[in-house]
Amino acid sequence: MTIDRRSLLTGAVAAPLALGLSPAWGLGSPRAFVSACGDAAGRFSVKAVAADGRLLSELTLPGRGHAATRRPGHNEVVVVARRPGRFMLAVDPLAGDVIRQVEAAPGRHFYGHAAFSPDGRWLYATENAYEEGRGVVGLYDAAAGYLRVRELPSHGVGPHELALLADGRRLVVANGGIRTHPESGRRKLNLETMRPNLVYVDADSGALLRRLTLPGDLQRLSIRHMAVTADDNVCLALQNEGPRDRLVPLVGRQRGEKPIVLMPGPDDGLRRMRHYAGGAALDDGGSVLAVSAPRGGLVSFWSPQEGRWLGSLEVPDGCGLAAAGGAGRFAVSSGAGRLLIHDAFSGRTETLRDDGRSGLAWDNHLLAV
Amino acid sequence: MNLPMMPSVRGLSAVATMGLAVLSAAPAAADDFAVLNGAIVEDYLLPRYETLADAGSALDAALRQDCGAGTLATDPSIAAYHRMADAWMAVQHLRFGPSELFLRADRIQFWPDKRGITGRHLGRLIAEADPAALEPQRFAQGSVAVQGLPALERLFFAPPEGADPAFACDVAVAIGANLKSIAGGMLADWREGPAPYAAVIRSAAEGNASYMDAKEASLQFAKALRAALVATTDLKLDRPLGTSAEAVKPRRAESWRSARSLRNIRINIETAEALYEGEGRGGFAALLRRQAAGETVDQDIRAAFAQARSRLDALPDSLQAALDQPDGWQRLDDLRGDLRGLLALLSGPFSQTLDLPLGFNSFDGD
Repeated sequence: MTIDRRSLLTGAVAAPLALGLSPAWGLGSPRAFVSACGDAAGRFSVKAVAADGRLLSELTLPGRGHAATRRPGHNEVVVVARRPGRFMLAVDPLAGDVIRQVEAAPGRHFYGHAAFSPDGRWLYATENAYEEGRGVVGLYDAAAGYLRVRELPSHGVGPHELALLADGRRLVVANGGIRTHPESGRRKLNLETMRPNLVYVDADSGALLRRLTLPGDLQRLSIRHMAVTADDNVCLALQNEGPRDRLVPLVGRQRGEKPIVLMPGPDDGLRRMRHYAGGAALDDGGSVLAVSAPRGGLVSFWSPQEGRWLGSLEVPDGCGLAAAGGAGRFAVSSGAGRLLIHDAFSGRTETLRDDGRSGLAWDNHLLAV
Repeated sequence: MNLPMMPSVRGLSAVATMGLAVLSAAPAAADDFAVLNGAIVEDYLLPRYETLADAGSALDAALRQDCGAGTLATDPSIAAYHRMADAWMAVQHLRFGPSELFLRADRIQFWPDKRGITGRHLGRLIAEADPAALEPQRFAQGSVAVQGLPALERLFFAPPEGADPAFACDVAVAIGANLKSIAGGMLADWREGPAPYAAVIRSAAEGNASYMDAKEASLQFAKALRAALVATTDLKLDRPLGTSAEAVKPRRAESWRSARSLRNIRINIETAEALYEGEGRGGFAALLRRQAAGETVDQDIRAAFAQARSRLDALPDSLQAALDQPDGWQRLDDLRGDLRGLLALLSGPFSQTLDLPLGFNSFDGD
């Protein structure tokens, strides 16, 4: 089902939704969730689902998508191709309209994540300058049809997720450290020598402001995903490419001038995460951090202030996470077609949709709008 | 969970040969995975790598003999090429351990070659006609695109224009020696040396640098099973077939010059099915049938394999020849649909029943 703009405006389909549409969404509880998806026939799309689970819109993607990011002040979301894809699609997911398709620059492909400046004008996307094996951040002017105005260095290899800090002038970028080349698909080419880092970059000049690394014996712990609190506590979700018989922490946090602090949690939890965290999100107040581990089928909850493990929820192939409004409340999506709301404090879970039988798979990241 | 009254004869024998006296529907345990891994290595992997190494030796010998007599692309050489290609198709999906080292898989077959690198590099090699470029070590460390089966296929079926036949013959001999060396190296790494990979798989049960536990090694094999089908649908069928009969691009097919694109796929599917069914001591199928609701999943997967196989059996070896038949495109499109259905069974019920995460997000991380 796709609702068109006309039915939306006339209130024929979703009157309560339409009320929130102007001038921009993003106040209070989420009105909708947006995610890239795949289906049984091998097609890829981006779907928007209302807070009660109703499908609002679906738009075909040119290939597999990864993460979506909202443009502040606009009814607009940008979905980025999964690496080594070469498209970004700006859409209005509630109206079901495509606003603009953006192709990667020559010699570059996307890594799946992008972030907007607080004023909604500039979009920053992590990209691979693959012949040189160098990470870059493409800078796009959303007001000029997503013209790529220039690129900044990511100061590392294999940049993945990035965010703007509260001042809107500094980027924090997770350079996963893993080199890939589109000619060899998704194969990892430098596991022996990889050096992940977390960098702070001047969002205007691209100057390196701070580079943080993990201790030497953890250099195969790839820094990939993040969620940042309103007061710039950078929470990290990690992926271990090191020896499998050594359990290493998969969650970390970093703030200001301090080093990265790893959050080990209980051994049993770590074992169940199976060396791989796939996404991170904070609840509305920033007091609970959720980290997904799709290979272990486990979502874990943490205190981002104290670094403490709070609990977990089993969701097979669960990866997408988004704040669902209220303390400790998260939306969780899975590759098995489930979309649920979980309250980390009460432990209550409510299924919004279960599309597994139709072969629908929610992709790695979920966005609340 | 009650077992069906009449398990299939085939099912019974597979379970019986695993030495299990009692049929139970307990969840797959660490021991089950360790037994499965052992069976896969001994009965499935090693024999196929032995076949590949033998085919490599035979190819090397055939090329030396024929080129020694001054002729390229004789019947025996072409037969040896097909034997090597057949053997490669049976291990093409095993992208871990020894095949990951030294770019071996790419050197045996650099494909898909979306930018035509093989043609360019081979053309340059032939035009320069520098014998030093064929010195074994230098050849093995040079462009991967001219080292393996696609380059040999071109020399046989579409030689570069103006090629000096004697030098083209020398290139073919260099490729044969190189393929023999790579295939022999892979087999040796599986069986021999201080840390043979077969032993790494066996010791997964205790945890090692490559695998957390036996289940993770089983997951590796399950991923290989899925990868064989994904490569077939996405690379070998989708790219040439496109979305309509009018949009076909037959030259995107694998090994189209030697007219064996569908033969490759037939071997890929048979090999995937053998990994699923198990050979000798039983594979995923036997383990699946012992899980709650596993019988039904197993029947569905078998039916899907059988359907794909019977559709392939009615098609020629060449994708172009298949497309030339009335309804050819439609039949290939149906095959692609069968394989997608099979993939959905693997990512869904198979993965869930055995608790081996092959899902959309867990399969290939980001």
